[in-house]
Amino acid sequence: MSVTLKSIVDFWREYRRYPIGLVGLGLLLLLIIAALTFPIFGDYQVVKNWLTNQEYFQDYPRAVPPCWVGLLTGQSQTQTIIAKDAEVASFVAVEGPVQGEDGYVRYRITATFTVTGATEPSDVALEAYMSYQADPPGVLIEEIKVVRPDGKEFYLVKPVLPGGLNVNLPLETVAPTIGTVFGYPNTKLPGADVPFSLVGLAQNPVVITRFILPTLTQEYGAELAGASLSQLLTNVYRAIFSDDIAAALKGEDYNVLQGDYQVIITFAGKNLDMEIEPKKFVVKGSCYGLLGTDDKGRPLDQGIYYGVRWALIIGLLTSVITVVVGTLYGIAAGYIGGIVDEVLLRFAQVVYSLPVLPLLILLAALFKPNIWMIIILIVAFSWPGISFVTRSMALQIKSEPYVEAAIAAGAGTLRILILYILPQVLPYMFASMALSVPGAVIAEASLSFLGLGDPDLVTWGKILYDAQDAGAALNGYWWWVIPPGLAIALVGMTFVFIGNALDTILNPKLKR
Amino acid sequence: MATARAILTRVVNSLITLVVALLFISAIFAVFKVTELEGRLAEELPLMLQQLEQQYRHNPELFEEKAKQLEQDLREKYGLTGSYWENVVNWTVRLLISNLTFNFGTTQYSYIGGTNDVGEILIIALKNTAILFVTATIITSIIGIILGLQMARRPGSPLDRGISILGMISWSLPTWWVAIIMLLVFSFYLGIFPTQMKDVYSELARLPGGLEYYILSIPIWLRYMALPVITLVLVSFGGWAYIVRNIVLGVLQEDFVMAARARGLPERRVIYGHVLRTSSPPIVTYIALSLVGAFGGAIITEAVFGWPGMGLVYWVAIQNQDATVLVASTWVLTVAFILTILILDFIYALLDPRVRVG
Repeated sequence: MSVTLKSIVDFWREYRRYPIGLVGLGLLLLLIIAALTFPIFGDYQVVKNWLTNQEYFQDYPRAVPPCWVGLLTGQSQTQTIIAKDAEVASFVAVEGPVQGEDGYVRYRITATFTVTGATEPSDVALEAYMSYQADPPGVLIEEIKVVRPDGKEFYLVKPVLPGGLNVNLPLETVAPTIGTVFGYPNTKLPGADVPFSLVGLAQNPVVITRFILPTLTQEYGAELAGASLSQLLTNVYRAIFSDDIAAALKGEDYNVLQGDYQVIITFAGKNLDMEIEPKKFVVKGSCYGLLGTDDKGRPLDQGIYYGVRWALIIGLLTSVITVVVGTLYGIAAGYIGGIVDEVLLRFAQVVYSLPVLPLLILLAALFKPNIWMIIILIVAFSWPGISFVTRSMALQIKSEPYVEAAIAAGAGTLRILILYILPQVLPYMFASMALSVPGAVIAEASLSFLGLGDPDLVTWGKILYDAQDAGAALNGYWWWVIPPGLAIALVGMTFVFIGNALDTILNPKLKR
Repeated sequence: MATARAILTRVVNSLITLVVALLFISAIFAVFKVTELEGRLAEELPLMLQQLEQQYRHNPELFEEKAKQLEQDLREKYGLTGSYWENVVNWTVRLLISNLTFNFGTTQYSYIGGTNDVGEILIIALKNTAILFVTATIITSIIGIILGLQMARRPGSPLDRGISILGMISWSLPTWWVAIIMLLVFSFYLGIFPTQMKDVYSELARLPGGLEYYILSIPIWLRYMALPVITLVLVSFGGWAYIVRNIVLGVLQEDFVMAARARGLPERRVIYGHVLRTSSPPIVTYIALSLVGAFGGAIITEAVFGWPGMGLVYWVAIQNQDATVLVASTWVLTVAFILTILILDFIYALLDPRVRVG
């Protein structure tokens, strides 16, 4: 026991002298930590829905870069907010009931957010659990407006008469019902999650023609002369965030007004009893998280974080099996010798001279294997390289006196192979294991990149496949293509560094 | 005599490899094909039987007979007359023949060259792959050998360390990923190179015919080839230089090098005359090995660049689930690959007078 311990200590003293090996070991430690901590810091729901459930990602902005880019380029960006349940309270406030002098009970939702970027957020969305009852029937929407940093109020719904006249009429004759705007029952809702989207409203033809345009013409009538209706319709959402509303509506250049915005929705009804419980508040900003999102809104940092596990599993498992199979094959051939050796060697040479990747592609395309089958397939094509070296090592070891002594003492072939030859080959095996990890990781990534990987796994290769499919490189989505490849390279380098250090230390004189 | 025997052994080796590959490819395709056809049969037969039953509902006996006949006909049409494994064997033989005669039939999808004949598609694709891969390999080997010699002359120098680490890093990079990054940088941000290399054909088609065509087509080919070639070279020259360095470093310690230096030969002649001459056989072996490694990566790289070679054919075939083309291209690629290795073996035998069988 103490001998083993001493040799390990000695080995470590030697290993310490190779800086590159230490770098490799440090990287390996980081990778293992990353793989193990995913359940703590990662979001498993994201990974679970990654491949199958696109709806899960509807709250995320699509194809936006990471947030730290703004710091580097100096370009300001709008942070993405995805607040759920308890977190919502810091963005959304609900007031009510307020009994008005006109006999209406009012409830008001106020959502606050900040725009700091050069482009407007791609959507502002709110989801709330609502139940209401009004008597006499009719829940009205008194107003929906956006209060802008410059103090102007942009009305999405405002009680006006067609033609833009603002008159003092009873609310129920001018204000729309909740049914017209959101499509919910006017009188009574027993309880449901109600979504609200700023883009949805700003693109809703009914809302635009009935409320937004009259208000706008009232305010900017002169400036809007000459703009076509279709132009106005498409530009309403942008105008909300524009420093020059009229210009934005006409499709001319404008700057995004930065600062605090408020979206205010006021409900009103006689004897209205309402319950509003905000569930979710989303601002789809111009950047997201550490690594941005892809074109379906999937947060890439989670996918890459999760990918560490599979890269390690695939790399280590494949290389360990490959080396063990190759070594056993090689030493058996070398030790037994004669015609057996001849046949085994010939077979290994045949497998060795097959083009691996095309055959892997063919097998994967025809039989759609899962990850374990893929690992076995990679092993099936990559063991011969190891077997050549171990065979020639076994050829030399078998003429050592101690082996001859064992044979003379009557030791069986299996005993000699495992107890006398294998230990001598062991150091070489460790170095080979480390050095064959990159090949295995790249092979799996290549298959995934061609769309032939395990269909149920999120791997770096698959993220790159999606990127290629969406033309990420030709659209400049660098945050989508660079990190997964760097991650593959990082895993590869980790093991190449370790393997190189091991190779230099352990390189037995036996090795050719 | 010994050289002749060595060459003969190698040819036999290659032939065995080819036969194994042929059997393997044909057999797995046969398994796939039989399974697929059985599935189709199980889908079609009940429908047709229903129709038949309608037709002969007043004559059950005749129906029985016709039904048997129908199944027999269908099975014959699909080549599924025996048990599962008999069918697989039959199909394997069929595919063996079609593979050996390079007669792959046609495909319904459009690939390159505007033809639907699989054989013709593969000839064009293989030619383009060869153009790209050979050019890249030649450039890489020249850079790799020169760099490797420099590194071996001054081991431990900054150049030696730098290139060694670069080699290790590029060993861990998927070539096709580097290709994506090159497209991102040079085509998207800088706009220097085209993005889809298969457009080379539409551009060539616009050229006038005759001698002028050949003169004008060269710069076009070069412009479209540049980015893929640069990518392939960039990824592999580091590893090359590292291997050449190790081989040459071993040779430099040999006595004859010291003897040459002692004779007062200029260092240049020692390196390029003696050392390189002695190192060339293992370097050629390494070329063969690195071809094995680089080939797969290069194929996928072609798909990224849309280079009209085997890679693009693979990509399109995978997207369309076109098994016929997949199998045919794998077979053609295997043949081309094994032939290349064989030729390199010949060169090795010519370079190394010590080559003996055994």
